[in-house]
Amino acid sequence: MVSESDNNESLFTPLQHYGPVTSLKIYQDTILCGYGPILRKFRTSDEISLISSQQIFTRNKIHGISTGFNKILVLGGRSFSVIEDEKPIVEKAINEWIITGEFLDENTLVLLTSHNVIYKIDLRTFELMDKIHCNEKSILYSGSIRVGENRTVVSAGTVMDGVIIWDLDTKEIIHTLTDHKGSIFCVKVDKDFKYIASCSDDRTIKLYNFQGDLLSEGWGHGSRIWNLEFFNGTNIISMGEDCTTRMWEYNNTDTLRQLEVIDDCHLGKHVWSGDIDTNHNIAVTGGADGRVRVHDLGILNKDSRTYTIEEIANDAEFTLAKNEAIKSFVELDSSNLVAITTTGKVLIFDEKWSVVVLSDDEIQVLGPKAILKQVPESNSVMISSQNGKILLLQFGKTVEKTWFDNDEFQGSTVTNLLISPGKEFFVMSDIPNPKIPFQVKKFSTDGGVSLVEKFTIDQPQQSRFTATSIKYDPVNNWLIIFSRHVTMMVYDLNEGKAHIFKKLTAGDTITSSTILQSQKGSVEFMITVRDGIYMVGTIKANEDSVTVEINMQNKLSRGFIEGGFFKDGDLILYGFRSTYFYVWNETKQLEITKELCGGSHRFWDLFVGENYKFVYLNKSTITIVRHRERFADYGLIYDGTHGREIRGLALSPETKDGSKLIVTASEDTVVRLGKLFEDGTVKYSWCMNNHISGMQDIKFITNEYLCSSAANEEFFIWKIGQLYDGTPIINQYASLKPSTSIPDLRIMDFAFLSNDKGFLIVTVYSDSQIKVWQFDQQAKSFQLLIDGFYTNCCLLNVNILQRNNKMYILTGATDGHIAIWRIDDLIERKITQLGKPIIKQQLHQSSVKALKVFEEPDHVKVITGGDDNALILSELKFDDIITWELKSFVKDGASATITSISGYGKRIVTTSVDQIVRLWEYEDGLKCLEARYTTVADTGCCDSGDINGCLSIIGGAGLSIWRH
Amino acid sequence: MGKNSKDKRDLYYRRAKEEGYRARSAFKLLQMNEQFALFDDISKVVDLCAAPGSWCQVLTSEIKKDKKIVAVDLQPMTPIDGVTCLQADITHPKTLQKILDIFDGEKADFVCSDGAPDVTGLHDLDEYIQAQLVLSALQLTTCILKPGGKFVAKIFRGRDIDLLYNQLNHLFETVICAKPRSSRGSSLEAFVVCLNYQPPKDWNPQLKLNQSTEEFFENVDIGKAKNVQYFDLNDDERSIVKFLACGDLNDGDSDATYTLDKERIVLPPVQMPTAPPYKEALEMKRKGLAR
Ligand SMILES: C[S@@+](CC[C@H](N)C(=O)[O-])C[C@H]1O[C@@H](n2cnc3c(N)ncnc32)[C@H](O)[C@@H]1O
Repeated sequence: MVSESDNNESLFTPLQHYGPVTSLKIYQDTILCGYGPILRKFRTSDEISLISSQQIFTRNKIHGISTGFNKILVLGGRSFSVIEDEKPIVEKAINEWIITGEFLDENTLVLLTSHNVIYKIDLRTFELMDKIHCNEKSILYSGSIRVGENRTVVSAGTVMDGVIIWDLDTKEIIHTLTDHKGSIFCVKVDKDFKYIASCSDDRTIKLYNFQGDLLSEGWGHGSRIWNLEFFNGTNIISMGEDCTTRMWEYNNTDTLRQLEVIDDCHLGKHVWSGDIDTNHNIAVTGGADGRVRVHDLGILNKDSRTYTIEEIANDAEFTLAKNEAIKSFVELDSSNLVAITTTGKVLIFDEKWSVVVLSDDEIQVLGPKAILKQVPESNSVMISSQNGKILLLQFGKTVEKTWFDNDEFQGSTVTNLLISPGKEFFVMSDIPNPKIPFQVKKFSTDGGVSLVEKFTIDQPQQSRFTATSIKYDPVNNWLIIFSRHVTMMVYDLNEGKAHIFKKLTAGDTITSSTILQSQKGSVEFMITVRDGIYMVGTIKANEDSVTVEINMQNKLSRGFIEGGFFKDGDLILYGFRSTYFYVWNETKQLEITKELCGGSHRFWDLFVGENYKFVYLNKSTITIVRHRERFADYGLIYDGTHGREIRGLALSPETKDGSKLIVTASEDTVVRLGKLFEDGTVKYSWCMNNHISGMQDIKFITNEYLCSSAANEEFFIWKIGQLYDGTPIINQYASLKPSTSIPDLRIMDFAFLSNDKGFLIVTVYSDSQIKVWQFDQQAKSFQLLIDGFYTNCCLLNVNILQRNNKMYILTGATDGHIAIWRIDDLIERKITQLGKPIIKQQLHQSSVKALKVFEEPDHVKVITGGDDNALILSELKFDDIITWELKSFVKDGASATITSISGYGKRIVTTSVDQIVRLWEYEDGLKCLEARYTTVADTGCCDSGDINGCLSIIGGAGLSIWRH
Repeated sequence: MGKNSKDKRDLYYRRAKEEGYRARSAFKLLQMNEQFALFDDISKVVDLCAAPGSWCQVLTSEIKKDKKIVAVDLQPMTPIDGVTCLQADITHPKTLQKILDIFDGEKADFVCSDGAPDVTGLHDLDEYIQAQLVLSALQLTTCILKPGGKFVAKIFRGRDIDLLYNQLNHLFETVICAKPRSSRGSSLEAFVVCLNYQPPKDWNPQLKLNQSTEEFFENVDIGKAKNVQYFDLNDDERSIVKFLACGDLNDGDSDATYTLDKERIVLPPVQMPTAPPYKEALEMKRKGLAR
């Protein structure tokens, strides 16, 4: 076995690495971030930027950072390093795990070990000055050291129930606090030695005074709490496994008050690290997802203003009618609000409320059920009466009023007024009676708003086609009407012909629509559906038909979606989730802002300009909340990958514009699509939530199609496409129906082959089943061709081999065997029973974890990696009979479980759970060329490809990208 | 999820219930015994991290004469006839002293530990804590195991497992990495089976209450990294040991899903799990008192 190398003249170099952010510290004007063994520094101004990245340790991850005296102490595992300007960085180590450390003074360092022992080290010489303990040496999960003017206090968090607070100078235990249950994950003493705060397995935060009296407890975290920090006296920030960051206030009661909860602070699971700084007014958090986020503490005092109807009446100097309240409102282009009351009063708000004077007659005509809407690009509003009369109010120096009449509605009343955006816009009056046509008016905004034409559109003859939004496409002269039940109508204004597309997907109301791009005969659009779905589609028209194709559909698990739009290339979605309103960046996967408004409201709207303005009515009040985004990229200062272990990944066969597509699938069932660039950076664009069970694998079939498999018999074929701006998109194309209503089999692996009908697919299962399918691309259907069992052990791998016009499948299983069946004759003769394998050969003692095949002209090379650490090269010859021959056996191909093999050219890369990545030659027996440590733990999958030279990507608890 | 589904996914879970074991772990010990004849000629045993107690169940039934079994765990354990139970932390020196007191100068023939911490998800930390459990068990072993005795402990195969292999190699004639078929192939879990304890000559390990496990092993060379001058980073001694899959291939595969008779009765577990530390937090959420 080749031992691990670290020479720089390497065949094999890491380019990039994404993984858990294990420590963060704000020091002076920098954010220090422990990113695996790398220390990244960011400048903290409103334009936060990366200053430097430097690998500090050879192997260990940075679990702690302390600062002082213009020095930085970095520590993790048994390593530590003191960083000073201009001085070279040297990795030092003690003989056990270091929990934390601090500078006692200019020349003295103290380190706390996991056995509650303090090492006192002279920084000038790095000599041990003293080893200090308090006579309690059980193992610790956490600890901190508070250095004061004239005392130093050590706080130690033990594995079971206890916090030990001891004095470094007297070595006396000050307190043993045993209120917690389970392991203690963080304990801190505030800077004035007045308070102690701790958190644990029991999901509580406990605040003590320094005398050791329990003052208050914080309840709210949904799982273990990893980290906490004091700020502004007794305020506390905490973060944990539930992916939230919370801020708490001690208000002299026995429960801490929650000031703020940042939900989904990171992806997946775990906010591992964080710090807070009230000078810069920021908090910073790091997660298992490899992302670093900065949060504006401005969220603690939001720009929010609530007006009661009495205040408004007072302000605008009018007398309130009985039960008068605001009914609805819109925003003008000038960003002033216009509101209408239940008695038909029209108000305008420009930091002050005033009445827009209407005559009694006008108010009378509009009536109590008037509908107020904004008119685009003209600083105007329209108000429709129930019987369809429309009043246009144009706000300039004065308010200009124009009335438009409507035809009669045969006694029916207008329930909605829909207005399309644009310089030429359409106004449509919706009437619930499907027999009465929609009344449509076309307006121009050139030199003031003017009516161009008036016409009607017959309503679709179906019950309740309730229009929810309309869009006009000037390129094709189409009016597109979106409705409930994910139904839409494309109305061709040239021919006066309607095309209706019912139930594009299962779901409720289309809550918003956007035209992304339009060309002659093709309009790309995006819609959001209240149930949580968003989709991108294309309307295509040719001589004889108009069709709608869905290019992408995804479901958000965050609650209801009320709307969505693209902003700077990012998809922004908003809606309600339990008791609050949220604005979510789907592309960057983070919440931009939220407002605890008590849930969905009678009337509300979100206005997006430079800032976000959320306005809602509540009983007799109106609340206006403004959110200003303080940071570029929403404070995402370093992007990552997945919040859970990556279980499958794949690179697209083709390289385009210097990048490849990359898909990654994680334990929490998320599939992400993005691009991998030559320098090893990954930029994700989508996060798909179609799978609901534990992912097993994901692979490209062609550049356009890929497959993924998971537990509960989930197997999907996905199609890759492109958005109008070139962003790659991914959509579930077909799925295999589970064999039972309560599927509990895992589809462990699959193999495929393109053929004239579509794809031949083989799936292998956790109960030893093997199934061969023909996927028909036209019908998007699967036909089962062959079915059978291997034994009753779990299959792990499958490949299709094509030799001399015959077709075989090759499997690997938990029993350490490979097995081969011939299938072309079975398919030919329509035999559906797989039968016994032709060859069954034991290679490994237990699981064949990895299996890679190279088809050579006269034989097939099979390379297998096992749970037994062995890497084996064997050859299969397909003559009259099939022969198997062992070519090379490396007993210790790794020091623990080989988990995957990927190949490119004449070399292979293996990953193993010992976190060593090995590069091998296999032509003349297996030869290890190089072995290097990877900081990605639980290393489980890899793929290789060419982007101006060979790259390999390695996944596990993080992702790393290598060049070789 | 169907009520059957854990039974289907986990053959050994189902079998444990059928055979009256408190945990599926029992089969791991049984399968290792098949391979290594661990129970031959033993009578005095320390079972560390023993709750809920399935290893104890196996040991009490397999050991025939002069039985003496001490079981230790952080969690309370339902008593078993012929087993002395101790609720304590095995990484604490005081716990080890208590066990020695119970043995009162006698030596044990076999020490085993199936200990596993509640993993945090930080892999390096979890592996370290796991290694510490093994080292604590090993510390006790050196104080109590008779020369020639056996030691079995659960490990996580991760980036530093070769350090531990190397350390064990200093104290035992044979060290093997054993993977019972009942241990899931998809998990990093395995066991070190250490045979023929051979302490270094002239080493008389003494447990001191104010000494940590680390300090204890500073007195004997088992290849552990030492503090070197100026705390320079030193290389660790690493080695690989033989891997052995244990248990018959026909025993059943812990990764496989099994088809079960629809009509069958789903048995209740033999032992209910103990209350988690966050029980009260769950209550608070349920009552809507915490958000
Ligand atoms: C997998 S269970 C053991 C199962 C047991 N062998 C059986 O057959 O029932 C792991 C046990 O390790 C215990 N454990 C973990 N850390 C410990 C520690 N520091 N001291 C004592 N027990 C510990 C846990 O409480 C848990 O009960």
